[in-house]
Amino acid sequence: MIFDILALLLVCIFFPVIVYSGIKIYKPKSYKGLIIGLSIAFLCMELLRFFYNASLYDGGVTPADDIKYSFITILVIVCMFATFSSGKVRKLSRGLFCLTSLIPVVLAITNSSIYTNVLDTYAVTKALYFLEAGIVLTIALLYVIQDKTEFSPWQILWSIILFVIFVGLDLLVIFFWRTEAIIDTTWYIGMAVSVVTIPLVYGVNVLVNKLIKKKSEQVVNGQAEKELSADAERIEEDMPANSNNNEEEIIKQEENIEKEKK
Amino acid sequence: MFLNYILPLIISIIFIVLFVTICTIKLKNAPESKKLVPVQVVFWVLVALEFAKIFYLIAQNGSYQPSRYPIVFCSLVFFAYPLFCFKKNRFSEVAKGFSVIPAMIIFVLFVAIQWQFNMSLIQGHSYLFHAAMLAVSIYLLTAKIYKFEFKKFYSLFLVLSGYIVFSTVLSLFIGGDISYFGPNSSYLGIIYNNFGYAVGNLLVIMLFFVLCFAVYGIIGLCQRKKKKVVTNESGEVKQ
Repeated sequence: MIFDILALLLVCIFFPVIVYSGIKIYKPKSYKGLIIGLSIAFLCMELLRFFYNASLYDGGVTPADDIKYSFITILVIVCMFATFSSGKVRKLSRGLFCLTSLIPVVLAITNSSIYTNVLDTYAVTKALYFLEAGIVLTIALLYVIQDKTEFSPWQILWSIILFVIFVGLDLLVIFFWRTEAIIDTTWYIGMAVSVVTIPLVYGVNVLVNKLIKKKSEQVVNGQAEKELSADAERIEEDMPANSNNNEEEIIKQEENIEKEKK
Repeated sequence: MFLNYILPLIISIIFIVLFVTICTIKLKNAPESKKLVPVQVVFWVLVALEFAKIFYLIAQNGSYQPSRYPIVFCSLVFFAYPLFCFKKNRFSEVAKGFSVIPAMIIFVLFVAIQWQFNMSLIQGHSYLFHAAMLAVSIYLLTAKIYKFEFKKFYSLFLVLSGYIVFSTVLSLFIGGDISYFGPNSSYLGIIYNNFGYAVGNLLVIMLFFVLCFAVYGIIGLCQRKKKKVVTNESGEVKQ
């Protein structure tokens, strides 16, 4: 269990770092292609996770308890809208996606049954879930970098509504499908911590934006000061030379006038 | 027989006729983006119906069977709608083609065996589902959103054969049958049982080629004849 959490955290940290370092090295003009590629990869991984899980059973008949659906499944749909739509839908879904991007990690930590299967001896579904959680964070990072997004408090509300819908759906599944999932303290803690991550991501975004603004202001001020000092130096350098030239010219002109008089 | 088969069929046909007539007449002079609004509505309704079906069946069976996945041939058609009804892109024409002929085939195949089953909630759902897809496919033609051109048959054939290959690979991977293109098929079972799964699929792909070629070819020929008649008539008038 602890090793699972450790592996999950490592993947979630390293995957965005690996992608971001690639971006820093190759400096692509736009992230559009990368975002589309990652979104499609995300969708394919979720499908693969589902089908691989089904393949563990005879005839692919998956018991209701073992259908590995979670908040990450909803994020796949949101991601499709965020990447491929335009206008208001795109803005809203990108906000939702970014603000809720930490929830799959929290849910995986509090409830390992959403990604583990006893029959999965090669831990493929587990690995796919971890990778998906990493991809979610990477895509969220790319959205923020591309759009230079500053989230509004309304987006927090929308994100919470989305998560509440998921919780409702989860409860409906538990009662309607009569699964063996237990609603205990861990379940409540998982849901509560997941909700807390939404304003947390918002706060981080606000802080990062403030820092970026400060840095850019400092850079602008520094550049302005440098430019001013450079100009002043240039003027100082040019001034004596100009004055010398003028004097020489005046002397030459006077000499010419005298010559003409003669 | 009447309550289980004929009545739902009649209701479905009435629904299709009403949908097509009202939408076509009301949106006759509207731009294409507005003409596609009914398709968007049907798409969301079908998504909700599909979701409800999955939810209900899992609760009923206690498990999720591969034949109930939303990627079986019957459910597949409406996945093509978003490719043309929200935003146009290079796949729009292929998606429209995929929403026309396959939807008609699916409806015919569905109706062909329904007399065997008793009416139930899921049966009612299936009638509505298939009727909605057929209504959209006819509406695409009556509203002149999709026009038959002979060369379009090839892209449709490629998509259909791609789907058969995909469903075959997936069925082998899962170990269950996800589509009607498999040994347990009520329609094509004979092919698979006589030739074997993989060879059976190759034959079905060829069958689709012939079908697409024939449908688009016949319609293309008819359109050419019509054009010739019209040009001849206009020529006579000019003389």
